[in-house]
Amino acid sequence: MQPLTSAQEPALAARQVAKRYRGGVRALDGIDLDIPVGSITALVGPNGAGKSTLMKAWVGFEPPSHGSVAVLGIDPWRDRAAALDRLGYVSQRPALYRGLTVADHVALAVSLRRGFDATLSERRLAELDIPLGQDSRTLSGGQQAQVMLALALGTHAPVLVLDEPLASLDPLARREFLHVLVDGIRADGATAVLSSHVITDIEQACDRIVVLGGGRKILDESITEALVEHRVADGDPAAPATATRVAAFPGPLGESMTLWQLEGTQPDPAGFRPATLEELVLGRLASSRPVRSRAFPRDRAS
Amino acid sequence: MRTTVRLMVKSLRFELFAMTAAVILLGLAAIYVTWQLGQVQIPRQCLYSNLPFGQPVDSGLDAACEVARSSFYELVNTAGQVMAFAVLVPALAGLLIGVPLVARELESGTVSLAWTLSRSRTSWYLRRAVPLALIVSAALVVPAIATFALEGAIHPDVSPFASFDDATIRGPVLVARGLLTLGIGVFAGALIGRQLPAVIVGALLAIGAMTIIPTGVHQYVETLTEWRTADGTTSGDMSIGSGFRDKASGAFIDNATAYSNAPSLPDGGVDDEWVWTHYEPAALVVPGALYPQVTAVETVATAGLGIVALGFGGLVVGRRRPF
Repeated sequence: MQPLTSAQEPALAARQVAKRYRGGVRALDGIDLDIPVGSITALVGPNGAGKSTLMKAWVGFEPPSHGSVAVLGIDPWRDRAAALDRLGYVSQRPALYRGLTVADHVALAVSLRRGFDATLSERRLAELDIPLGQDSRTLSGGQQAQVMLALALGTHAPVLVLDEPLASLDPLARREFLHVLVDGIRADGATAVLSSHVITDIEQACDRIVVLGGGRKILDESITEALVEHRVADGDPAAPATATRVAAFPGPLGESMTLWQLEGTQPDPAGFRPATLEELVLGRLASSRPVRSRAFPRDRAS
Repeated sequence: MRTTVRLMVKSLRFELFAMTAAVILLGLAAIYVTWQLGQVQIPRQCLYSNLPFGQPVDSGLDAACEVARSSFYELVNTAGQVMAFAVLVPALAGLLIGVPLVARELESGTVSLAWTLSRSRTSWYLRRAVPLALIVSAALVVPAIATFALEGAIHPDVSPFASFDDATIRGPVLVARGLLTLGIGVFAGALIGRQLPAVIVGALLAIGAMTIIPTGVHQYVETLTEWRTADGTTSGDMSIGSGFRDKASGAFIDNATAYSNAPSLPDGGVDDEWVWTHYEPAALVVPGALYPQVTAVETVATAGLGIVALGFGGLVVGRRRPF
């Protein structure tokens, strides 16, 4: 395990980070974010919200147009080697070498990363019944993601960045992946940030959620606290004294629902119920931009 | 290090296998043609290069040589084809092995794994590029030796180490050319990030480089020239100009000077007979004995440019995005 910097230092930080691509496409727009040490944070948001861009800035793949990022206090754009020493990364697309076996990948990691724990990686792969001698081309999508995760965990990096690793996995493979991830993170006392579209899965694995929308941070809170604070109501009832309307958003069948933030610890107003994490995310995203739906009227707050 | 090399070789096994097969095929062809040329046992005086000055090839005066010549020069044609293959193999091998080294990883996305596992992209790059350059160079020693052997068989009257015959298509310069195209291929692949466009761009860059280098070498060669009379030249000399030797003073002069010294004829022409009476033909040559020196310069320049291209490839790897 790499030595950490000062106790106050966040595992990952972003300061006023903006990113504009050629053609003026704005991916990030002044993001300020701290990922606390020891947390497992879900980074969620719609396509184009800037999740991958932010993660690529942390791993030194995509320089911010403005602002700075840091990994345990180290700017990867000033000292890439030191930052990478503290990072494990799982990319959106499984990045395995065609024609190399799983064992070859472990050997590659050993040759590239000082202190790589091949035993740990091989043990995790064995637990998942992934044969070391199997050609990476013949692995399923879930197995490829597991190999990538086993390689990332084998680094014993204090910070893991996982860019939509669940995207191409079936529900069972997602569950298995998250189980291995949480197990590995807890064993190392590491920090992880995981981007995903699959809200139900991350609810079980993550303790913190950051919602990005339109390149901005919309929510940054512990999942438990966020769920305690929010309620949903069918339709758009009159505002009670103990809650503030956040936004209207479409339900599963296009019906109108509203997200509310409670003030204090009063009992739920009539017709209000606890929000699921998915409803919370949808409502928060709707608060940041109009939601288009034939059955759903334009957000009155916007 | 051994693991990195093993995995790099494994990931480029198709290209390396193709190069090895081509090199083995070439070596076998060269051995066979060289052996066949030796079997002809053509008398030295029957070689066209040993014909007395001014004697037409088909004069019929040397009928005894005709049979040997017929089979010998037919085999020389075959040897020429093998040498052409020997020229092509290093250039193609370098390019087709160099391009995927980085471009394939960028295309398939595997760099995102490698570049986050390795703390230094430069180290990752060097641990792949240097062994690959050594492997390619070692394999291309076969065409280098094969072409030397063939050259010796084609021109049995002169040592291939003291002759400029076919100097640009044989010997160590072929290894250097493989290194050059390897470096250019790696650079183009790293810059463009896609294999097919990188092969096309790399080929154009390689053609440019292989045009420029001989021009520079030729300028160097011009500093090594000597005047020789016709009977003072050997078949291994590189002739880069002609002129005359003044029979009276022994001084060498170029054609223009010789003809300007000749008296004018009434019709305004030049008196050729006067020129040939007072002067004897001479050639401006680089002596064949200087072949090792000249080829060493060309080899170093070519390989050096290849190493520079590899260095630029490393710079690109250090700065570019992995997608």
